[in-house]
Amino acid sequence: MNLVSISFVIFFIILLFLYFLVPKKFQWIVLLVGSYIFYTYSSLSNVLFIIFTTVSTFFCAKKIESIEYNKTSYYDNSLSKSDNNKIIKKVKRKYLILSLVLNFGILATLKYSPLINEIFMIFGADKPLINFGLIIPLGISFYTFQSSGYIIDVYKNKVNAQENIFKFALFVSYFPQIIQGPISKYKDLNTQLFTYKQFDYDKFISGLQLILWGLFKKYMIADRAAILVSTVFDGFPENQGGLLLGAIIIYSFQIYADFSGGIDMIRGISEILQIDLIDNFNQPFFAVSISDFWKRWHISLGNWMREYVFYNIALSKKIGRLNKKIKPIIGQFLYKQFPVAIASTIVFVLVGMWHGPNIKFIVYGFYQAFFVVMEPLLEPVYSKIFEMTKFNKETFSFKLFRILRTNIIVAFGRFFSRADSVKSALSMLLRVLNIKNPALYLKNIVFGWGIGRKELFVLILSIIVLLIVDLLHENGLKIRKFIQEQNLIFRWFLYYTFMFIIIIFGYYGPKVGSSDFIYRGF
Amino acid sequence: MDEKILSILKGINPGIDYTEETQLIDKKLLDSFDIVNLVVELNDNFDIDINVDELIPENFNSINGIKKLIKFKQSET
Repeated sequence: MNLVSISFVIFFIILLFLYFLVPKKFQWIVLLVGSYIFYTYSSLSNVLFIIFTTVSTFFCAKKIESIEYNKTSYYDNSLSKSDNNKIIKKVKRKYLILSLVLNFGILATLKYSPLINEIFMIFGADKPLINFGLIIPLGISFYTFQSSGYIIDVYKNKVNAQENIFKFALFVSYFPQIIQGPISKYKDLNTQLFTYKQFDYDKFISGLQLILWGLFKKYMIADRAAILVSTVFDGFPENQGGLLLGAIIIYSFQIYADFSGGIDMIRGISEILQIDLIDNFNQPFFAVSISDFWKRWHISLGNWMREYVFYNIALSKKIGRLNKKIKPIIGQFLYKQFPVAIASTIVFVLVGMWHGPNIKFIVYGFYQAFFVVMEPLLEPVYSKIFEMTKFNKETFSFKLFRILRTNIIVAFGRFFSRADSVKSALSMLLRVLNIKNPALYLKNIVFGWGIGRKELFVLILSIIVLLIVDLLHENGLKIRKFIQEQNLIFRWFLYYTFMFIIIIFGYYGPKVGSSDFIYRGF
Repeated sequence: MDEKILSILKGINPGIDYTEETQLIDKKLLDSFDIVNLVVELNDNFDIDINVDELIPENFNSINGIKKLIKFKQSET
């Protein structure tokens, strides 16, 4: 079910009535049934995958908790308390690993089945080994990460295991966020999903505002930019450097508008249901460094990776011992950087691999890791240069320079995620950097697009609106609250204007049609 | 225990008077990179498992804070 479709609107209106009208104890059940209807409608055959993850995680978590509660029954009196606890931990870990292997095993097999098949066919297999069809279950990445985070938290005694399997099923399948995240933590969502809520007009309007803003991003920017970006990228290698540079910049806006627009709609829908979801974006275009960018982009995945992968590697005893061993060779400074550098690299390569079974995504991961790792390594060099030249770092111009530099690095990195292969990404990068004829280069940036000038004008104007809104947010203004404080006439004038703009220029724009969210496929 | 912690801290970042200092984190004498190495060393030397949630300034601002954290972790296991 597409979020922007009549069937979804009808589904949501019915759900909303039931949600606020049924007796208290049934409210969450409405959400659960709604979530499963939504999921089944989207992919009937794949509902088995989400049920499997739900059931296996639920029982493994319960088992882990019961071992913890009954740990004295596992005690061997001949051993010390600390040795006994180590044994208990080992038993608990077995169930944790079982659950993680099952969940991530399914995710990896489904995502990587084309690659696995390809490899086997190279070695002589005459038909694909794994054939699940082409459709990857809706939201499999998101619910896998979410369920795995939950069971790790239970293992670490951070949360109690859920007692009710149906309640747990709702946590895994909660319908707005199943589409493309954000990845919620159990402790953030658990109480919210199951406490009774009465209809709240302010939240309703606030949610609608967010949905409207998401629609603006999706229709005015993402879908319009998609045509232009496809025209340029599919026309490669005839396209010139200037055009490619323009296209990759527009692509940066496309992917941001598409992903964050979808998240805005999901958060808006959720806000109407009075369930607050974490915001996945924090004005990424205003990042001053690559590490800052990753704190502002796909925040919920970043949080997940930091908590469950990064720290486990950086703080692992093996890495620590290795670091200590090589300290005399690498010296104090690199000794300090080593665990974080290794952990960051692994995290970014994993994030790259998560995007799909292609070498280009691994290169994309290394590309991001390179800049994140180099940042602290070069810090002393920069400090020395600034000190010697008495350079003032606290100026607006220097901040602007850092923001532009970050955006260029991010945009160039997107060649790897957007191009078909590493080879074509590198060749595109070289073309962008090859400015033999500056006049033609500039002309191509402005006029060489696959959409008309009016369309391009609407797109650029919409991007400017997006940047202004982000700039206001960056400076601490809460726009939705600000609008809600204005008088009624102004407010509704603004809503209607916005709606008509989206309808006229977005939905009915030439060659522009509703397309699925890019991250829906993950 | 004090001496062991002191020698670990000196290995992480030598030029600081750890016996007197009570604002190691607040004054940015130790940064997040140092803390990662410190935690790894503490886990290894004292056979404990410091959680991510415990990576807060008050646990690492002074030798006393670190000692308290180690004792707490040891009592847990």
